[in-house]
Amino acid sequence: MIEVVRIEKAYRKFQAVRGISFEVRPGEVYGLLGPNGAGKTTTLRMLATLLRPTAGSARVAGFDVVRQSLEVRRNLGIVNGGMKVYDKLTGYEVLDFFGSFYDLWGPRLKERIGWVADLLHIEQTVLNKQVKDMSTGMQQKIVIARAILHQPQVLLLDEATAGLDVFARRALLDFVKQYAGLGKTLVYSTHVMSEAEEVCDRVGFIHQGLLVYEGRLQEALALGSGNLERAFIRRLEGAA
Amino acid sequence: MLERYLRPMWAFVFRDWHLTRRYMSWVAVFVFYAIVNSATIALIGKAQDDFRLTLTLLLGVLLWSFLSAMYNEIANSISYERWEGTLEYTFMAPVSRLVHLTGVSLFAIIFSVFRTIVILVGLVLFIQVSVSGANLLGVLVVLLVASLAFMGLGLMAAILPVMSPENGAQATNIFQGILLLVSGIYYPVNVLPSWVQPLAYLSPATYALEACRKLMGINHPDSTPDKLVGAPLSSVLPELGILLLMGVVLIPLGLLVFHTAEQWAKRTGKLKRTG
Repeated sequence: MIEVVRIEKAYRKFQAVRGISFEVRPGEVYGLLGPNGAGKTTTLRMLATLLRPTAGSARVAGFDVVRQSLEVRRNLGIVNGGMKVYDKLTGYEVLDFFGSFYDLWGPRLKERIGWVADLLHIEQTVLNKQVKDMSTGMQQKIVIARAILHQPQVLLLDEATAGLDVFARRALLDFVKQYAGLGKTLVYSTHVMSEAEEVCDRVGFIHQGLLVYEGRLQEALALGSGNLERAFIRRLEGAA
Repeated sequence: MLERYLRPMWAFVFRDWHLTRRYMSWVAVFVFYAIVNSATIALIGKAQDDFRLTLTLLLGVLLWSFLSAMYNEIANSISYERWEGTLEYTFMAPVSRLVHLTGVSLFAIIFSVFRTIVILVGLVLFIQVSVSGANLLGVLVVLLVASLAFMGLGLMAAILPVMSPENGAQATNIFQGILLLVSGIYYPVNVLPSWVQPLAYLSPATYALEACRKLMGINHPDSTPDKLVGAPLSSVLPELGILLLMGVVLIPLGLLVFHTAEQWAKRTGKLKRTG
C-alpha cells in the first residue's frame, strides 16, 4: 500500500533524506522513528505530495506521488502535531468543507460525520462549537476527523501527539490501533519511542536522512533488550 | 459529473463566507475606514463646488474600492491560509488548483460587490450627488468584465506569499500601489510623468475608469449637476474589448504562474505553515 524506493530530498547542498526505501502493508502500523531533524517529516511530506523528491520514487495506494498526485491525495490522510483547522469555523463546518473534496455531501456527509464521531468519541453537540472554543484534545480530534473523513487507505501521522494532554494522547494511540484494525495502512512518525512500542507492528530507525534499521517491533525490542530507545542507540553505535 | 467540480468550488466560497462573518468586527472596522477615506477624497470635489470633479473622485474611490478589495482577497488567500495554519491541508485537498482558485475568486467578487455597496451607502451620508441620466447598468457590466482582469492579477500576486512567507504579503501591496498610481484613479493619466504613462495602458483599471466615466457622462459637455448625459454601452466597446482580452490572457497566465510557483515551492520546501 506504501512503497518507497530509494527516495531522496536535497535542498541545495543539504541532503535531508538519503535514499530511503521501505514498504507498508494494509492493516500495518509502520513506525518511522528518529530524533528531530532526522528526515521523518521530510519523508512524510514527500508521500503527502507536499514536497517533490529529488530522486527515487514512492507509491501511495498504488499511485505515484509525483505523476499521480491528485489520486494520491484522494487516498491519503495526514495528521500532524502542529496542524490546525480553521479556529473560527465550527467542527461541522470544517468537516463539511473538507468532505466536499471527497464527494461527500448531503446524506453521505451526515452518515460519514456520524461514523467519524462514533470512532473518535466526539459528541454531535461539540461539532456545533467553533474550534477555538474546544479543548486541545477535542481540537486534535477534529484534525483527525478531517484526515479520515474520506476513509483514506493510507494515514500518515507525524508527531501527532505533540502538545496533547494525557487523555488526548491516549485517545489518539487507541485510535491508531483501531484504524489499522480496519485494514488501513498507517505510518506513525515520532521521536517518542514508547508510543511506537505501543502502536507499531514494524519500525524503521531514521538518522541523518538514512534508514539505519528496519524490522518487526519484537525484533527491534530484542535488539534493545526490551527497550526501543536503547535499540535505536545501539543501532546507531553499531552503524558508526 | 459537473457537481464534482462545483461542490468543492462552492465549498471555498462558503468557507470564506463563514470565516468572514466570524471576523465581522474586523470587516466592520475596515469598511468604516474605507467609507471615511472615500468620503475625504470625494469631499475635495465638493469643496471645489465642481460636480465633475466630485463624480470623478466618487467613481474613482468606488471603483478602486471594488477592484482593490477583490485583488486583495485573491492575492492574500495564501497568506490567510498560512495565518490560519491550514495551508498544507488545503494544498493537499484532491481538487485542481483551478477549482480552488476559482472558488476563492468567486467569493472575492461577491464580497467586493457587497463591500462596495456598503461604502456607497455610507458615502451618501456625506455627499449628495445626482446620477440621473448615468448609464449605471453599463457601469456594472464594465465592473464585471474588469473583475476578470483583476482576478488574473490577483492570482499572479498570490504567488508572492508562496515564494516568500515573510515578505510576500507586503509585496502584494507594492504591486497594488503601482496599479493605483498608474491607473489614473483620481486624475487623468496625462498628468503622470511621461515615463510612467505607458504603464497606465497595461493596467485594466485605466480602461475600466475611462469606460465608466463615459457611461456616467462625467465629461460630457451637456451634463449638468442635475442631469448627466451617460453614453450607451456601445460607445465603450473598445475599452470592454481590451478589458475582456486582458481577462482572457491574465486568468490563464495567473493560473500558470501560480502552478509554476507551487511546483517551485514543492521543490524548495516553501509550502508550509511557517517561513
